Amino acid sequence: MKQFLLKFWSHCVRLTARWPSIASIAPFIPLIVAWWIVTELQIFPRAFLPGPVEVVRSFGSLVYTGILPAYLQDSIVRLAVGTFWGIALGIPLGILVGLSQRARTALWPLLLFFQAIGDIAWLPILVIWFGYGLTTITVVIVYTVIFPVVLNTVLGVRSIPITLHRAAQSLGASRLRILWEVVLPGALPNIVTGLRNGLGYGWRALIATEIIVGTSGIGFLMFDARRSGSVVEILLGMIILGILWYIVDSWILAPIERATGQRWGLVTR
Amino acid sequence: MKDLTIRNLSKTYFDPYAGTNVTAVHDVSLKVEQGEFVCIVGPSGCGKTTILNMIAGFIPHTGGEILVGGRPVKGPGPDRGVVQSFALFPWRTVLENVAFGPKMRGVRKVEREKIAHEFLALAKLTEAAGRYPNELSGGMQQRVGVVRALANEPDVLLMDEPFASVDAQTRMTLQEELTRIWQEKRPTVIFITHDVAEAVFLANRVVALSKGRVLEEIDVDLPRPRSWDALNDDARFKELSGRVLQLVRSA
Repeated sequence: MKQFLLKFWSHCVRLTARWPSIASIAPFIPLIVAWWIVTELQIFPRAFLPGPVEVVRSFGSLVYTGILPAYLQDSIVRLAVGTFWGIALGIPLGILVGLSQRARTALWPLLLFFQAIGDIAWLPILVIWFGYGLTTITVVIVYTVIFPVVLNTVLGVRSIPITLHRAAQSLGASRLRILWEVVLPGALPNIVTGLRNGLGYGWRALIATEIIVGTSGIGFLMFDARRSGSVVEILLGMIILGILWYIVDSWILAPIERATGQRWGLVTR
Repeated sequence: MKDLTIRNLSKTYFDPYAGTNVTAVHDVSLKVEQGEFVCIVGPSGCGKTTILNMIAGFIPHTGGEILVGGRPVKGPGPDRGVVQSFALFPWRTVLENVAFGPKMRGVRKVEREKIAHEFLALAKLTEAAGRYPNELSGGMQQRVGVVRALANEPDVLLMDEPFASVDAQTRMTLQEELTRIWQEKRPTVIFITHDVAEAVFLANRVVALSKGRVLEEIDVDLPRPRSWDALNDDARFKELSGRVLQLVRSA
């Protein structure tokens, strides 16, 4: 028995070494098994807590009817558009505030004030202004993404040692070159952190907004399922949210972090 | 390479906490000939880094003038290479760091990498070319810093305690290496230190500084090439070091 367990263990270690993605799936296996056992034992009524098998089946039928792919696409496009504008506005603004004392004096109180008015708190007035449409959703996401990006960019720009600015200057770099060669790369680890936070908040804001103003999307799917009393679809929506975020974080954001801040020794591994 | 003239240089700034004007540098005059190696030595707070920052153009001077090859200094520029603390770009490899100055001048990639390799070889850093600064030891980082400034071929090289943060053995090696490179390229060097032995070992001339004033200039007539093995027991070296030490301590 002991021999068998040891063999099994070494097999597992070799497997995860070859395919690291298995290591990221493994922690979920006991959770799913526990969920399955609880539903099989009928501790709660099926209608309240469906099991994994039902969720997978519902996933199959929603993909088959084309609803899920369409909704997923809507949600992702909305997040992408909102994030794009959040980054496009946030990074230049953060660099400006980080580099210029005057801009900081003028804008910092405003930034803090508006940061405090949470994204969702804007919804009532945005619905009056822009109605139940893409504009409202985009504004909320841009609003959510921009603050973590700006604040972290400012932090990143200000954490660059003055000796690096001076070194670049006395090696003949112009102000524009310093921006490109020193300020941007120096602030990049913080910018990525801001992006990570911003995307996380933006993702949540998107779901909340879709629940309130949406006519499609994952948030709408979940809210619509509540109306029809389909707990299976609500659970499915929740699981999809988790999986999507996991993919964005580990396939896009983490590799950027590894290739920049960690590689340069600016962030400890 | 050009000469450097400092005439009646002074620096006064307002201290908002004390509410008074503080004079960090009083009426300092200094003439450094082309190809000369001058060390400015003095205790902490004597104004030596302030002087270097003013020559580099990082901070404005409030009196007198600084001339490099006859031209007054207005802000930082590539005619004055600076080696100050750990100022390597962490996101650039050693090669790219050394090629940075030529890149800013618009030298093409192949050409500037050739220059960088040449200067890296000068400091025996060829092996480190593809590595990032955080992967190097402190001593190697210091050498890259020196080589990066040299590769830009400045008229004057300004060094601010470049070897302060390495261990004593490495420091001796770096000092010997610096004298060797200086003899090969003959740049005009101003070297700031609080280490009297280092100053005497490296320089043609040592300027003792105290409380923002020049106390005395001492010519160092030791033969080159210099090595610690030869100089450690050298009577002339001991005599000169003793004199400079006395000056610095008396102040």
